[in-house]
Amino acid sequence: MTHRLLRYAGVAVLVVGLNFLLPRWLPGSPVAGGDQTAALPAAARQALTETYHLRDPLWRQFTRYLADLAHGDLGWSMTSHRAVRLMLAERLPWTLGLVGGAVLVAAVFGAAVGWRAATHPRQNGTRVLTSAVFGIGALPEFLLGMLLIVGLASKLRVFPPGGGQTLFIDDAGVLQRLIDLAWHAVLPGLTLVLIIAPAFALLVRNAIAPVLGAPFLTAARARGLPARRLAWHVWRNALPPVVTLLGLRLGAAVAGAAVVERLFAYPGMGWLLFEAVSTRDYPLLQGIVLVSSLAVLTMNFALDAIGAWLDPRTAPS
Amino acid sequence: MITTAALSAPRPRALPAAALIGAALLLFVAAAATLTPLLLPMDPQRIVGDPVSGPTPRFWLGTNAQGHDLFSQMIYGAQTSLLVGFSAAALSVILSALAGVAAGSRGRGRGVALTVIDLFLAVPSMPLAVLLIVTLGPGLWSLIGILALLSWAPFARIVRMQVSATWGRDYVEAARALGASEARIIRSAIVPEIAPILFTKFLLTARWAILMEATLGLLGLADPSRVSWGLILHQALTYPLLFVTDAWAWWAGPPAIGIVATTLGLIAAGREIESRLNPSPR
Repeated sequence: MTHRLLRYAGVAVLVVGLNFLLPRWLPGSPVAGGDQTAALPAAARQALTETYHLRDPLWRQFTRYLADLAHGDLGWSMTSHRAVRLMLAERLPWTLGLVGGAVLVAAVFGAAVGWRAATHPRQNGTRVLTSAVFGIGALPEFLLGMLLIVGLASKLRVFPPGGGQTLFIDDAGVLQRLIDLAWHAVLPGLTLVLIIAPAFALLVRNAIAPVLGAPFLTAARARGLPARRLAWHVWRNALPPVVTLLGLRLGAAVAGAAVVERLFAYPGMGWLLFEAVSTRDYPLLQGIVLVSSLAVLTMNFALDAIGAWLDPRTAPS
Repeated sequence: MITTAALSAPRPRALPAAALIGAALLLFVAAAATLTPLLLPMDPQRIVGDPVSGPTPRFWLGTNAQGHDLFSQMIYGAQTSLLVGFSAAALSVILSALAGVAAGSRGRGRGVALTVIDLFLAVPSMPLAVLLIVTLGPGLWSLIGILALLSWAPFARIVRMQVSATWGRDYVEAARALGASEARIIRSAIVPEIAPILFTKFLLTARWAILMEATLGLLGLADPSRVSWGLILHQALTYPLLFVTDAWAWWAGPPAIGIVATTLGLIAAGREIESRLNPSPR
């Protein structure tokens, strides 16, 4: 366990270090005035250098950076002139709601499909269902999202084509706002569910299929165990991989679903990432990368710890 | 008794339809990509018509917001996509093979290789890819390098397992007893063992890289000076009336279909080749 902890700590240090070093490796200097012909006056340059401690040795700058991070200070956005921390806090609920919710729905739906594929492999209904799920899941998410926009938003006008909520909805009642939020989440959420579900279906089917004919199950059936207890014995085998995939997906959810959020103009972390990239807002971009990387790392570490408890066979000897 | 029929080579199986369609799709895209200069009706980066006009006999797929010919851009984009996909995959395969062989063998590099693999396995690839591209600046070769760097680690672990299993085989033991050098064993025993999985990895990574190129392009990270399918998609989505008019059908549709055709072709062809290289039932 300590070995794994060290490994994740090492990667975390690497990510933080890269975040700190990359802008300093770039050619140019923050006080050099860029392409503008009118260079900064010497006094302004002096003041900037002192404000940002640019003359300090690199290690001193790094310890200062770490201290700021420890206080939750992620810097100052260059385009909207607000604290990066606040901008992230604003977008995180949107993304966690949309992507997190979609991952949970996809896990349940995928598990149901996988269960059916394993228990009734020869039924025609199963064949239609699995080939539809896997066929749709093989499409890239931008194509699926575009098709849904064209079909359900643009042509049929059933769902809004984008955005997180209707403008000026704040005046309406709570129930109406909730319905509005859900309405806007349907198409991006559906895209994500259809993309994510096949992986869960495949995992569950592959974990369950070999167990169905196992002697211990026949023995349990012979002892007269009720069907629900039998089903639990089968499910138990699919649990470790499903929990792992669920965790990985939830960890990645913090970064948002950049493509889907871009397509549907959904105001989450992915859209924020797109905005940061298109305006080259480096502090914002670094904040997003840092937070989402640390979320993935924390989740992976937690999964390693839980995995050994869920399935003792994988415990490090 | 063993009959001669059992000893003779198995009759070649007919190609399944999926593999044929996959190969046809790949060939089509590859032909478009390699014959680019001959096929291009016009320069994809020159203003040749009115901005955002639908398909006409002159502009088969219409024009984009700058007035560039979209059909020429599609063909040129095929070249970029295949170049990115295959170069990143080739580089990634080489890294996987080197690290996997080093980590699975008994040489001095073992510990170092294991640590580096573990480190890269834990690195979150998508955020890092975005950060690196923005800092290094979008460009074809930096994109290829970054995609290769972020995709080699998982397969290095599979290669390592195969390599260390092969080192334990009796015939390798026998070769060592006869005085074969480490380099010779790697060449004659290890490489044939890992070649099939490396080939599968090549196709899977090529598919992944083509999708990543499009995904990063969609986020505005494509090199704006080189037409790619990702760049066309990005420019299409920047057009505010894309889904209000029928512009999506001739502007965003073709690159999306091109990406799907290429990736499906890679999967179908890969599955067939894999089942021939490794005939044991799975």
